[in-house]
Amino acid sequence: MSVQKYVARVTSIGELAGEFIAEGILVFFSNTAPEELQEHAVVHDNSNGQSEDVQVGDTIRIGEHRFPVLAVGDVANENLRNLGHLVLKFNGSSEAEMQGDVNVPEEAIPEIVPGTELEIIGD
Amino acid sequence: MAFWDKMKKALVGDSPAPEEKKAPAASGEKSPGAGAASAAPAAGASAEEIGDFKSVRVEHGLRGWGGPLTIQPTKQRNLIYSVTGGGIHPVAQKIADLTGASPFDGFKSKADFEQIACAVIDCGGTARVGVYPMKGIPTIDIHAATPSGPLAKYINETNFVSGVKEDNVTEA
Repeated sequence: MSVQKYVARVTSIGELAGEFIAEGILVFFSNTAPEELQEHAVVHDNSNGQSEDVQVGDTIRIGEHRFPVLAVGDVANENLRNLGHLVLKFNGSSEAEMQGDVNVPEEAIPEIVPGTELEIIGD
Repeated sequence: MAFWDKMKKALVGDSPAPEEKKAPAASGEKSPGAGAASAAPAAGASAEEIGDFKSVRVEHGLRGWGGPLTIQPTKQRNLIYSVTGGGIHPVAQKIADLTGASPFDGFKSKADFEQIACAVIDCGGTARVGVYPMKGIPTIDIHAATPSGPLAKYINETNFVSGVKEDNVTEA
């Protein structure tokens, strides 16, 4: 029985988000974050919060694309819960280099447009 | 990456790229985003501008990086900007208490960068660590992050300190 841990819809993509995307990193912030953070981020509308902590083995769905979670940094859940903030690294690493990281396989970052859904699903 | 290149172009258009993108990495501290003058807003502030505000010294904590920073609020830069989950962080509160500046919750309301004496963040290492140094704002990270990610080029020991706990903040 799978559990939906987090769900959000993309509302806008910051002008400078491409700097992170070029390095295989998707930075999410909720639309309540200060403007200077939204500039660098994929901005979403989650306001329901997070039902459970994200953990290794969960699935992250971006639109139609699904990615298994390989690593979760120490403060990643705190970031997501408090700020709607997620640093998703497409690096294939099973160790979180930074405390805020959530790692998924080293794959091309899928297309994201306003309206794209972000969902985190647990088993 | 082709999609994202297109996307960037669509979003940014053909207008000149934001100046931080043009800053050559080799220019180091001289880059517009991390200019020494803007990174230390109170450097050279006159007694008139400083008024009654006191300064504090902020050192890095265990496994932290950067600093020490001296934070000197002025009449213009009198906000201790807390961009942390769950309201004003105790480190931001302590800086405010010792300097006489006002704690400010960046997630609740909006401030002009020109009013900010320093930013207190709880960044896990990739995004917020760079955003405020890039804007020329001295940045204090509660977590013991070292510079990483595409914005690392804006971060140096004179505009960033991490792993900071309340004990690392002392009267200067």
